[in-house]
Amino acid sequence: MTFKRKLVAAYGTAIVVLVSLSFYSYHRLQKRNVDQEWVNHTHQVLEQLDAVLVDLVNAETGERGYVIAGEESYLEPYEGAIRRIHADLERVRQLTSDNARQQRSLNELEPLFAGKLSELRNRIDIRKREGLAAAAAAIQTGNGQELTNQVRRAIGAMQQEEQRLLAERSSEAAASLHQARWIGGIGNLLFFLALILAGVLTSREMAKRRRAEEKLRGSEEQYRLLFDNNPHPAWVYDLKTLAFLDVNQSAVQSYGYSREEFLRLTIKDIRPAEDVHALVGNLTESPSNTEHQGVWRHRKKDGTLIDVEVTSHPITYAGKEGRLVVATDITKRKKAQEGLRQSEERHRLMVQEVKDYAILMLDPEGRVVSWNAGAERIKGYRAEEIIGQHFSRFYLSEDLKAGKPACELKLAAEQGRIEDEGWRVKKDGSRFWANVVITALRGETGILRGFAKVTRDMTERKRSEETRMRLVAILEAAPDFIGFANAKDEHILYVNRAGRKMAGLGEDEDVTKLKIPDVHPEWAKQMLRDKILPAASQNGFWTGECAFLHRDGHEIPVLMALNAHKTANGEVEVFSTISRDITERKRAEDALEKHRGELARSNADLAAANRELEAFSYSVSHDLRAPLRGIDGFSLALLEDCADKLDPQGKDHLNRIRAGTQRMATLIDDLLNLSRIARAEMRHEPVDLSALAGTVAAELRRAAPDRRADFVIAEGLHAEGDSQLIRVALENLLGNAWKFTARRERARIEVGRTQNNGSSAYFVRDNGAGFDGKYVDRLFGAFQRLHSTTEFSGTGIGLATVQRIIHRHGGKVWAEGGVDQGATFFFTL
Amino acid sequence: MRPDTTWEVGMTAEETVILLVEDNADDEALTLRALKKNNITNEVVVARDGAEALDYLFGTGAHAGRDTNVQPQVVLLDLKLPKVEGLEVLRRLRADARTKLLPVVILTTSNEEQDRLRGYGMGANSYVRKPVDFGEFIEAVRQLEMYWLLLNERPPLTTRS
Repeated sequence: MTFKRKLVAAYGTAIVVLVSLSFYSYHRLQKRNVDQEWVNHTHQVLEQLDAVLVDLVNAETGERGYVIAGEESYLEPYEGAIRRIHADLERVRQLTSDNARQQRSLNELEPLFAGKLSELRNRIDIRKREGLAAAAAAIQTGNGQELTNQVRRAIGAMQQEEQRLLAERSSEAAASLHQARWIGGIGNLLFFLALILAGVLTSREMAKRRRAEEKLRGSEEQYRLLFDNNPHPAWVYDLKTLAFLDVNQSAVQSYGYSREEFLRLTIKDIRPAEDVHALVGNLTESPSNTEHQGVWRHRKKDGTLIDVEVTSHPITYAGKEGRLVVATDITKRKKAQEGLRQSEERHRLMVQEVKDYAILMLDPEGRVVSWNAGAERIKGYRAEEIIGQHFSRFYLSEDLKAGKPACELKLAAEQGRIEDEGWRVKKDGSRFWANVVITALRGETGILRGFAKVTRDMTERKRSEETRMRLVAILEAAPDFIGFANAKDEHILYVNRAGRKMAGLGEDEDVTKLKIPDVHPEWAKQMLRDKILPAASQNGFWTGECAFLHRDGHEIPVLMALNAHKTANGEVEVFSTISRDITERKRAEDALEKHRGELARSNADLAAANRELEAFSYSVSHDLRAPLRGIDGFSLALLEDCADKLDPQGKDHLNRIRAGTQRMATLIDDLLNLSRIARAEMRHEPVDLSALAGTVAAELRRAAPDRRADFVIAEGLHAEGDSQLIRVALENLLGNAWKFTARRERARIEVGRTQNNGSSAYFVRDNGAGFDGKYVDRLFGAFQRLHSTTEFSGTGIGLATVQRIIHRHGGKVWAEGGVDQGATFFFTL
Repeated sequence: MRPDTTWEVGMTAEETVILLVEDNADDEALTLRALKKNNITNEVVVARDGAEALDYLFGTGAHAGRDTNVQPQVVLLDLKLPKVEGLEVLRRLRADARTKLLPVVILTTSNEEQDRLRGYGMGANSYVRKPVDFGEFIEAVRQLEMYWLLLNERPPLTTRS
């Protein structure tokens, strides 16, 4: 227990005792006063009871006087006593209101009083009405004395009660006085004992302090040295005026003020003006008797500002309350800290702003601690909704079942770092292919602080890798030679399976050891060097025929498409080719070429034959007719010139000669027509068959106007073809019909259209001689006749001509008929 | 006689020669007979091949010195001729100023369309196919005479070089 506390305890005890005594005395005094009052009260009651009794005696005395004397003046004391007696009784009732017993006694007393008073009244009334005798009789017969005695006994009982209370109260007061004497004695004793204890304590403490002060005075010199030579600036200032009281050498050096200048300043003067307010606030708020620490800005004499860490202690200096301050210049440290802070902030921002990578920190249990923009972009969560959540929510449910997240953290903690690639889940539930690197973060002591997790969205790359694999698979499966090579050194970079097979390379052979020329025959190498590669470099591509060389020495002819792939600055980087094996096509082409040659030759032969035919036709037309003309001309000349020398038989011979020449001429012309039809150029034009048939019929009629014949020509027969040739065909068909109906009484010739097996066919029908169906096959042959010339004229060329014309139109012609049943010729166009 | 260099308008009725170019003797005889049958009395000069016909028309060869200002009233020209073909004769006389407008009737056995087209194309005035029936031939010649000797007004021989 410190001296201070001991002293407080001692003095405290003394004071408590004193106060308690005073309080007790006061209380005693109060109690005595109350007791006294009660005694007075009892006396009052007793007096009042006496007064009531006096009143009753006075009232009776007055009544007796009146009864005896009959004098009205005797009634006066009676009347006065009656008036007072009620007031006095009421007074007693009030005084004893706290005492139930006395109240009950009063209640008993009151009817006795009322009876006594009414008796007195009654006797006065008798005296007034009947006189003295009646009244005296009433007194003698009445029980007035008995009533008075009862009243006296009741009041006496009440007075006894009051006397008992008085004695009780007096003994109570005596006991209390005795107790007060005891308490006062013991209290005073205690008070003095406490005072003595305090005195002893004080004198012992005084001796102790004296010894301490002596010791302090001895070490003060040392503290002075410590202050002056402290390497940190130190000073003492007055807590009231804030003036410097003392400064050390370091402060003088650091702040630029001399010691004298310092002592004229206050601590406000070494602060920048804007900090003074804060300083004053700080001084007023903080308690003055404790140690303070803080960072402040100080201003040197030359105005430069420095950051200082200040420690201040309360101190009494030269009798003044002040503070000892030690200041440490932390400007450099603060700058370094600031630099570090900024650098960390920059790094943090950089990480924060990285969009291509999700960079996040996990605590050792795997909960997200930080979240950057890339993480938000890739995973879809905003920082505020994911921080604090466990990182396992980025994993597929099957990975979660397999405990993958925990496993990865464990491995990362053990190995320092793990890398993984796989599907992860975004906020919206969609998947992305992630490359994940988890690095364990450890503090200086090796304690696991958490993990850094860097995730890249590799979905696109994975897709493109898959696409690339598919493309490679397609290339490998392609039947063509597909490959590419470095354009600069012509080293082959890739050849697909078909290509390796074409060049006779092994399935797993390393093609990159080969160059472009290694897979081509000599001539193709030259062609590549001189033509193909320069052309492709220039135009970007080249297409044409080339060849590859198989290892076994045979050539594979190919149709080559060669592309030059250029870099952004137009330099050719890679040549690629797709080349199709055209061995089969070459073979087919060779065969075709041979065939074509043959065809050309036979065409030439055919042309020559045609020319011969033309020459022949020309000759026929010219040379064969010329002699005929001579025969006919001179036969006629003979008939004319030598008519007189010829007998009728001779003339007949000549006429037969002439007829022969005419038939021959007709035959020749028909033959020429037939060949001309075969050779003539075909025209394609709309042909009005109805009109053409009409024209031909009109010509026939004109040649033999006497014949009775009906032409029935259907309207609207239209076709497509060569109108001149069709006209020739109609001339022949109608001419035949005309000819073979010559013997009919009435010829009927019909031209129309009919349906035949779903396609329409034109027909020419007559009711003439018809023909024997047996010979229907011979009808359309040249020079074929089914009737004798004597029967019907003709060369047998007509139907052959018709057939040729119809065939040239791509149509068909056929005939139906019977002997003497007419004939029908059908044709299609 | 007018000098060669004199170009005059109005050749008159005295020029009534018919030039018959025909290599076939039979045809020649028959043609002459047909002309006679039709009472055509004009002088008929016969050239037996194309070259001879050209010689006559241009006064060269055997006909050197002939007055080429006097030209036949009509030329009856066969096509199939020795030496110079009938169509070639036609081409050359159409190319020459003196004979450019001379009436030429192609009289031939050929009924080839080609021949006819080429004949008209080269400036033949008429094309007559010689029929085998002599009677018909006489009729054809009669019609020719009607047209070319009697009706047809000869074009004026105005030529400029």
